Amino acid sequence: MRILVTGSSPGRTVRVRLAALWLFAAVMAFIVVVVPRDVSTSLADWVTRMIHLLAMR
Amino acid sequence: MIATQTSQVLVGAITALIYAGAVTGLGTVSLTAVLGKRGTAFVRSAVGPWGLGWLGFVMGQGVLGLVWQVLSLAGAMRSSIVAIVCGAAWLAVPWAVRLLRNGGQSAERSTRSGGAVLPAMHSWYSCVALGIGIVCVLLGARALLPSGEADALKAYLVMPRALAASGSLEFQAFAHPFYGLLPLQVELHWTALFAISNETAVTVWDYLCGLGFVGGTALFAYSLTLSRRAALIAALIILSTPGFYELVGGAKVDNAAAQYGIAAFVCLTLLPALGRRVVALAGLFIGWALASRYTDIIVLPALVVFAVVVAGRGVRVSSSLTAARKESWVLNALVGALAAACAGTPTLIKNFLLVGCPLAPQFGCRETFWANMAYFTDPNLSVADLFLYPFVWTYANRGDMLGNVSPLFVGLLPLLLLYRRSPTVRPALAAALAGLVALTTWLLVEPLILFTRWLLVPLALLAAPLGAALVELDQDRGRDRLVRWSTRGAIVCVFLVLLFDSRGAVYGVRYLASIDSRAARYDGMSGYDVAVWLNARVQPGQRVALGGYRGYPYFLRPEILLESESGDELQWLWERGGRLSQSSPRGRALPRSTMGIKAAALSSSWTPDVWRFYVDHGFAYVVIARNQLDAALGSWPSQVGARLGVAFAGREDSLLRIARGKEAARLSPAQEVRTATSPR
Repeated sequence: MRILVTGSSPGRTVRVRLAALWLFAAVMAFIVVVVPRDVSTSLADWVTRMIHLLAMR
Repeated sequence: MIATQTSQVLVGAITALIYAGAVTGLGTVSLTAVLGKRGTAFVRSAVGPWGLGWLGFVMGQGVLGLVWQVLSLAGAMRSSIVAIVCGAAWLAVPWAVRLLRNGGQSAERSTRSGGAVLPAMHSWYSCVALGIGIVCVLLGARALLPSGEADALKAYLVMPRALAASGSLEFQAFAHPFYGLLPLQVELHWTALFAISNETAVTVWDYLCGLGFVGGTALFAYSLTLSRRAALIAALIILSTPGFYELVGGAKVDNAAAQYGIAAFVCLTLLPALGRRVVALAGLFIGWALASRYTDIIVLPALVVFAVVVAGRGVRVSSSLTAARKESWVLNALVGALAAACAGTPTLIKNFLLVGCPLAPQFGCRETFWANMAYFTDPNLSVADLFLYPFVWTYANRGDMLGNVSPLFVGLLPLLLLYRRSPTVRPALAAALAGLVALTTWLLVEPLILFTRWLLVPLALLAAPLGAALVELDQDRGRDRLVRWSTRGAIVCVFLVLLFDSRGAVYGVRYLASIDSRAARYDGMSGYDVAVWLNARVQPGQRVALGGYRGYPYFLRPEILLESESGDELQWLWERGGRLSQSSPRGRALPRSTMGIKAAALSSSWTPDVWRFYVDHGFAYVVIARNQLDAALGSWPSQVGARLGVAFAGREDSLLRIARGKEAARLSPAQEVRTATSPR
C-alpha cells in the first residue's frame, strides 16, 4: 500500500498542475526550437534518399 | 548470393555480439573474484540478474581493456592472440550464465522485493518500455553504418585500426592530434575488434556500449528508488538526450566511458550492505573512467559526496552495521583510491613508456611538435550563457556542443522540487546532489565550455531523481485529467522526436542490403578523393608524406599511415615550419580546424632543404594543400637525384610524386613539373 506524503490542498493541486504543464511546454519548446534546426540540415538529404529508395523499388 | 558488403556487415555485427558475450563472461568471473560468491549472490538479489549481468559487462570491459593494453605494449596485439583471449573469455560464459540464473537465494531476493513496482501488461509504462525498445532497435540499425563522426574519422578510429594493423602500441606520429597518448581504455576494444573483424564490429560494439550506458542509468535509478517505473523514465531521459543518441554507434569514446562512471555509483548504492568490497569495485570503475577520458575527473568529487551520503544514511541496513562501517571510512577511502590507481595508472605508464611524459599531450614534453600541435578547445559559451545554463543546454546551439540535453531535464525540475519528500524521490536525492557536484566541478574547471558528451555521467545521476518525480506524480495525481494529459502527452512527444531523429535507421538498412555503398557515404568528405587514389596505387613499402594532408586519416589504409613520417621526421619538419608555440600557445592565430593546424605547421616553409629531406628519406608521394602548390613546386632544388610530378589533383589537397631512377624516366612530360639538372 502506498503512503502519500504530498497532501491534496487546493494550492498544492494548482502547483502540481502547473508543473505538469511546464513539462509539456518544455517538450513542445524543444520540438519548436531544436527539431527544426536538425531538420533544416538533414531533411533535404533524407528526402532525396527516400526518393532514391522509392525509385529503386 | 549475399553481397560482399552485406556479409561484411553481418559478420561485423555478429562478431560484436560474440565479443560482448566474452566480455560479460570474463567480467562476471572477475566480479565474483572481487566480491566473493556471497557478495555476488547479494548483488544479484539486490539488482537482479540483468543488473549483475550489466555490472559483469562493464567489469569485463575494464579487465579486458587492461589485457589489451599490456598485449599491445608488448607488440602482441595480433588477430590470432585476440581470438585466443576472446575464446578463453568465452569459457567463462556458461559459468556466468549459471550464476546469473541460479545465483540468488530466495531469502536474499526478498530484501528488495518490497518496493518494486512491476509494470502490469498493457499499462502506460509497458508502452513506454515498448517505445524505448523500438528506439533502441532503430539506433541499432543506424549503428550498422560506417561512422560519419568527424572526430572519429580524424582520431578515434584511426589509432585502433593502425594499432590492429601493426600489433604494437607505439607513439603514433600520424594520429594527429592525440598521437595515441590519450587514455585508450575504450579504443583498445575497438583495436581488438578491428584485429578480428571490421569497422561494423566497432560501430555495433559502440552501440552496445551506448545501450549499456542507458541500462546502467536505469539500474542506478532502480537501485536507489526500488521502482522499475522510475528506472524506465530515467532510461528515457538519457535516451532522449541528443548529445547521447546522436553519438550512438558513431565511434566516439564518450558513451562507453560513461558506463564506468555510472557503474561506480551503482556499486556505492550497495555500500552499506557489502562495505569495502564494493568500494574497491567502485574504485576500479572510476579508475577505468579516468583511463577512458581525463574529463571524467569531475565525477570523482561527486562519487566521494555520494559515498558519504549513502554511508551516512546506512541505506536499507540496520544502524548498528552502519555505525560499525563509519569507523572504517578512512580505510574504505584508501581501498577505493588504491583500486582507482590500479585501474587508472596503466594509461600513465603507457604514456611514460611511449614518450616519457605520463600526462602527455596535456602536460610535459613541451618542446615536441605533437605537444605544440595538440588540439585545445576554445570556449563555446558566453558569460551570459552561464546564467541560463539549463536553457542554453536544452535549446541553444553552441559550437562543438554536439547535441543538447533532453527537454525532460528542464521539464521535470519543478516536479522534483514538489515531490522531493515523497518515498520514491527521497532516496534518489543523493544522486541529484552528486550530479550537481559533478556539474559544479566542471563549471569550476571550464565554465565557458559546454560539451554534452563530456557530462553524461552527471546527467545520468540527475535522471534518477527526475524519473522518480514523474512516477510519483503519476501515482499521486494520475486521475487528474490535466496532469495525466500534460505528462503523458509530453512523453509521447518525446517519443515522436526520438522516432524522427532515428530516421538514419533507413540508411543502416540500405547499407546492410548493399544498396548504399561505403564510398557513397564518404565521397565528398575531406580528403577522401586523395585517400582513394593512394589506397589503390601505393605499393607496400612506398612512403607517403602526410604532413600536409588535411583530410580524414581514417580514409587511408593503415599501412600507408604506418609508413608515413615518423615522429623524428615530423619533429624535424616542425622545427623548420611555422612553430605554433611562437605564434600562440593555443594556435589561435592558425587555422582552427584540427587538421588545418597540423598542415599549416608542418608544411608552411617549403624550402629546398625540405624537399631534399623528403627525397633522402625515401618518400614516393607528398600530399600538399592545393593553395600551397606553387610555393612548394617553386622551391624544388636543382641538386637532387629525383624528378617531381603531379600525381593527382584532389579537391583540397594535391599529390606530388617523387620519382627516382627508371620511374623518373617514365614520368610523362605532362606530369613533370620540376626536373633535376644534375643527379647526385
